[in-house]
Amino acid sequence: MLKCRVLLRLKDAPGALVESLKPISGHGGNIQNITHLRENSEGEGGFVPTIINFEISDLSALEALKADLSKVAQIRELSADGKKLLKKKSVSILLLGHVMDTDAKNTLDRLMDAGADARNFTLSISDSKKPSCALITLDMDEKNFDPILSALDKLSKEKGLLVIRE
Amino acid sequence: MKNVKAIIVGFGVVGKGVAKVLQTKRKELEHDYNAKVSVVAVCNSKGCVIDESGAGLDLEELVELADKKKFESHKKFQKMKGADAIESVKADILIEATPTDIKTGEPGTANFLAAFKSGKHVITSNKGPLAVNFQKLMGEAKRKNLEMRFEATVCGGMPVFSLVRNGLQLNKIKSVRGILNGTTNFILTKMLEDKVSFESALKEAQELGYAEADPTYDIEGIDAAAKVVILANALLGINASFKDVKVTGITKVTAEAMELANSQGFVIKLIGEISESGSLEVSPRLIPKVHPLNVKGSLNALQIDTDLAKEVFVVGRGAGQIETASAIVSDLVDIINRRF
Repeated sequence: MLKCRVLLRLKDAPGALVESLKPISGHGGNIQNITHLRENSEGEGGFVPTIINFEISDLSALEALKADLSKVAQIRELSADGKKLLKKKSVSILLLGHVMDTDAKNTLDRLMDAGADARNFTLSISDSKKPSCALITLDMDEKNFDPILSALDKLSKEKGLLVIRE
Repeated sequence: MKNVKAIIVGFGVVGKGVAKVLQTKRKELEHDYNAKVSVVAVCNSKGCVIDESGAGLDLEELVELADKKKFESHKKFQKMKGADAIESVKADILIEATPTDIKTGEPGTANFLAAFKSGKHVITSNKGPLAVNFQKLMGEAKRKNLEMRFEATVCGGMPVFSLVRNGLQLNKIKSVRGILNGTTNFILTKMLEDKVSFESALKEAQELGYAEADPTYDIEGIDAAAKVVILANALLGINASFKDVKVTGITKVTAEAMELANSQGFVIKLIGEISESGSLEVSPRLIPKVHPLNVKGSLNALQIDTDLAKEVFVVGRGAGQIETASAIVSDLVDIINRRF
């Protein structure tokens, strides 16, 4: 049996925790304990970090579990027998320039191709002739950080955007 | 009593500040450190005032003359290059405070080499020679068993190198990042707090004396990049020079961008960084509002990440005549304690 630990970012809403447990039991996972870190909550209506320790038969069952779990919760970290299988990080970036005129959808698609998930996209336009700006929160596996930085660098040069990152 | 003879080369804002502090802190130097510092030569770009005969020059008189732009009227003034005075005048320590030239590193580099050649320790506030020739100059100092100190080159009165040398022994410095330029921090703070454009904030910075008439070095990130080079060489042992830094200034940052970042819990700061991978960069960055690097006005702030002490933060005034002189005399006292 593999001893697994998963860190989830769960919506602070009734039923969210129960939903996240279904894929674990559905794939034969035996839950050992659950820690709901309410003191680290992101505020009312925000997200609550939650750690679940469980046992599962093998890696293929864990992979299937991971696929289903990611449909109902944000997985931030996953490890099996102490070995880290996944660690996600969030990075905010601010794009400054003609964000819309240079095809914002294409910008986001290319970041996603490099391995990022866009969690938030906030656009600010004061005057259509002046530069606009967008703040994007990207979730990514840590190992994808450098490729995403390279993609940002390329986008910046190609589209004349100033990239301000964390 | 330890008798120490010093030469000051470069008698502008910083050089005069050192002269003032040496005057006002003479008793503390004698009482607390058992040291008597005599300045035997002072040079500006026109020439030098030299007196090797006795107790040293009257620094108050020299500051007064320089303030009235009558330095050359001193009875002991002679037309002479700083480097020639450094080589020929008998002294222990050179205080090098000539202006920074980031492209050539001169006249600082020539002054440093003249000092090492004639057996003098060097203390400097000049970033130019270090941004261009750090390893060469440090190598020369070590070869001659002399000290080369530069606390005043990075973040003025805020202790950085002495903090690491005296407080973080055995720590491996993994990365360093921070606000290394007070002018840009003043401008960005103004843009956020008063919701004004970059141009308006720059104008106000110039009116208040935070920015030069030609602000290029500050707003294009060149000043911060020179400091990144010095930090990389001195703290992380990276053999880097100015050309190795990826530099982006703050001229394109808009008030709208500041406001958007603010609405999402961030501020925009010009950050100099030496990452764990060894890359050197100066660029506008998003800093969480609750982060210790979010300091306002013209303050500087530095985060040093180490293997033992983990994250260490320093905040302070990055510029100013007396603040910079504080860093120089701190180096002076340290050399006196170690070498005399």
